[in-house]
Amino acid sequence: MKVCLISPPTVEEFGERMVGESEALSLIAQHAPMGILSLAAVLEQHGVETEIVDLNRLYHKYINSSESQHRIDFCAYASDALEPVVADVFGFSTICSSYPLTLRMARAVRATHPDAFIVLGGPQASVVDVATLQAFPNVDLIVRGEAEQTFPIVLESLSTNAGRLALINGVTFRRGTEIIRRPNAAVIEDLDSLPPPAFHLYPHIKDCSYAPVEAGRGCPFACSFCSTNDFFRRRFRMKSPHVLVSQMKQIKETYGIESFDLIHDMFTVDRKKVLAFCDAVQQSGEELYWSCSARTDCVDDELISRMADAGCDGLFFGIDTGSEAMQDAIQKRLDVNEAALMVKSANQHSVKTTVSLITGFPEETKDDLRATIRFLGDSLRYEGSDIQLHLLCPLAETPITSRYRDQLTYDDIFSDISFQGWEQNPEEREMIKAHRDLFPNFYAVPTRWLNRQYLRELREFLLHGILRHLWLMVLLHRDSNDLVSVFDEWQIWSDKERRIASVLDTSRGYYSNDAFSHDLLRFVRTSYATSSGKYPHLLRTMVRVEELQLTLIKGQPEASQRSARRRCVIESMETVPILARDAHLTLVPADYRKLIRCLKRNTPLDLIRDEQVALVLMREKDKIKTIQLSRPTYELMSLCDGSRNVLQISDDLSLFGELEVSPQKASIFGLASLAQKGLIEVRNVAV
Amino acid sequence: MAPKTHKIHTQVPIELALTPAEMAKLKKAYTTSTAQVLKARKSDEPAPVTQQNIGFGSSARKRKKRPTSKKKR
Repeated sequence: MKVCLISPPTVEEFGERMVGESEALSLIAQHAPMGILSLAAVLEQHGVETEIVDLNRLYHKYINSSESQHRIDFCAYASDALEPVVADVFGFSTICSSYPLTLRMARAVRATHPDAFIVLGGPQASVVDVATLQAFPNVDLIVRGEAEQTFPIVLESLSTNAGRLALINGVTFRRGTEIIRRPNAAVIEDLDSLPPPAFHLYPHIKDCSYAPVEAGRGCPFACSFCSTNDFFRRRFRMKSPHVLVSQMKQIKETYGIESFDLIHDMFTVDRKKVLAFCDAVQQSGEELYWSCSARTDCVDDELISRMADAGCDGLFFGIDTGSEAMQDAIQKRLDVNEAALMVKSANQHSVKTTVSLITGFPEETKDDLRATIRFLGDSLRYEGSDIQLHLLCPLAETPITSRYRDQLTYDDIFSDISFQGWEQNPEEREMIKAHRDLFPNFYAVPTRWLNRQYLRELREFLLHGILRHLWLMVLLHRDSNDLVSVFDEWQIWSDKERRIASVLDTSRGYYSNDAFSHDLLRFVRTSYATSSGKYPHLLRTMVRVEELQLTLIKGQPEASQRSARRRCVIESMETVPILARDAHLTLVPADYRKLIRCLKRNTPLDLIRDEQVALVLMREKDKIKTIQLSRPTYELMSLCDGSRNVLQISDDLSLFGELEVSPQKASIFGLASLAQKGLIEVRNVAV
Repeated sequence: MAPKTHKIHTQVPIELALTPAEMAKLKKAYTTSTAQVLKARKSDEPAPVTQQNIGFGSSARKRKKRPTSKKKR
């Protein structure tokens, strides 16, 4: 028997090539499909020949193909790729966001391989099994929950006696017109008994900068929006430290990868086990770097320090809401203040953090939203933090979805809570509309106190604002202590200032475009700073710098000219110094260096005076430097406008009487040091 | 003995050489300090691709941003 295992696509329908080629997509595509590789390893132990198809990889290939440019649908492209595959069983792993696509592909495979047996597994099919089999006759069987023990028995039954399927726990299948749903299978208690993933079946592993390693399964908590409990049954299990470290070492030796993603819904539930793992890593003597998920109430400063010492370089914190009331409502029950301390602690230990927040809960009020956005604002200043804000997505069979099952609405505002693209294929949209129970994640729960269109735009405003103007957003947060009210002002301003032919563009396309940057800076400069801003001089300083940075982003880096300039020498008094081509000189009304320092350290802004400070901004290859200048440096650079030679600059310098240095010496010294730093270039006059 | 002088990095006449006192004054006067270094993003960068660690397929999202440098232990 031969089996073809197909991973669920976690990227799909990114409608634009530019997006398809983005770093994020390529990183996602680098991620080895651990679920099917783990299953493949088990099947190999049972002597089953297995082929792996990674739809993320295929999508990456597709997005750069002529088919994509001719708007040929990915499903058709992927189905063509699967057509030559010879297999008796096709097994699709499923997740919620790409479930419509998976079902379309199952239909395509049925058409090209009419005799093959089509099996679905994974989290989405596991919870919508009966409805799937009822609605999609091309699917033969669904393996629910952990498949490593169940799937080999299914294959054996198919080879010997299909009648035995009715005796296997953990499966749902069709017998004639009847759907048979067997009881759940037991979870796998001894995860150490599972073989390591079959990375040898995945040649792309050599291109990956990191490898996933399953650390364990099951989260004992019961958050009302989370879907993992149905799959792993809340039974917390962890692999032994020596097994984990041994797998990591083996991957490092075989593929040269020393960076690992420890896959576990909640790695830090058992402190002793985490410490034992840290000890095992350190005792191994290997340089191994790893990241994991954690709850902020399952770590403390000491534990984070130990984890960092053992190579932990990333922590995912699902904080989810900054409101104490909502923490209770969603049964997350984190102490928000403690959560903030743990984010700070991780950053102090140089562990990068992901701070993930959600809005759009049914009971959420605007005050709850403000609390969440305040948490977001407080976390922005940590340079190692990746801030996420999601719209709530009703995942199938979660408590929140079950409660609002009859009130779900399809409003075209999609959450990115799981993997979600920008566009939905028209055929998939029809499937989604026809089968709410199968695809609830594309629907919305009612939000009594909050308008979802408002939340969608707030999210675009904040995330794109952070992406483009991080320190401006940090300053707006500090200035207002309420980014939601800043957004409200932005909406009012936009309504007056941004309408074109009476249309106001609030789309993601607008917010992801430079037009948003220009408008945001104009809004802060002309409206917010003058009407609401507590620190107008700081806001004007920040806006000025951001405006110049935007200009430099637009320009092309001049690397070759930069290296030539570094060799510039002032040959004579006739030499004409000119401000470097990609340098912008400006005066701002506050000490920018001090401002950035205060924002990073969260220290009071009141002490930063209203005073003129000189800056020069320059682009060097892929970096933009903002350099603060002393007043004499600024005076000197201001004279480098190409109309004066060194001698004339010396004559025009006004500042050096008090230094008791001759103007010529002062100007030549200053110009030489500016030339060395690449801030000016020179035009020497041939004698 | 005449005070030691420092020749500055130019090809202008030697008489512009500076005494240590002058050099110190000028160094103090002409200061520059880097306030910020940002990685230049591409113009019109696409929307951030973010996913939540809820349920499944979350691992790739967690790895969306990788540290660029390794800590020394």
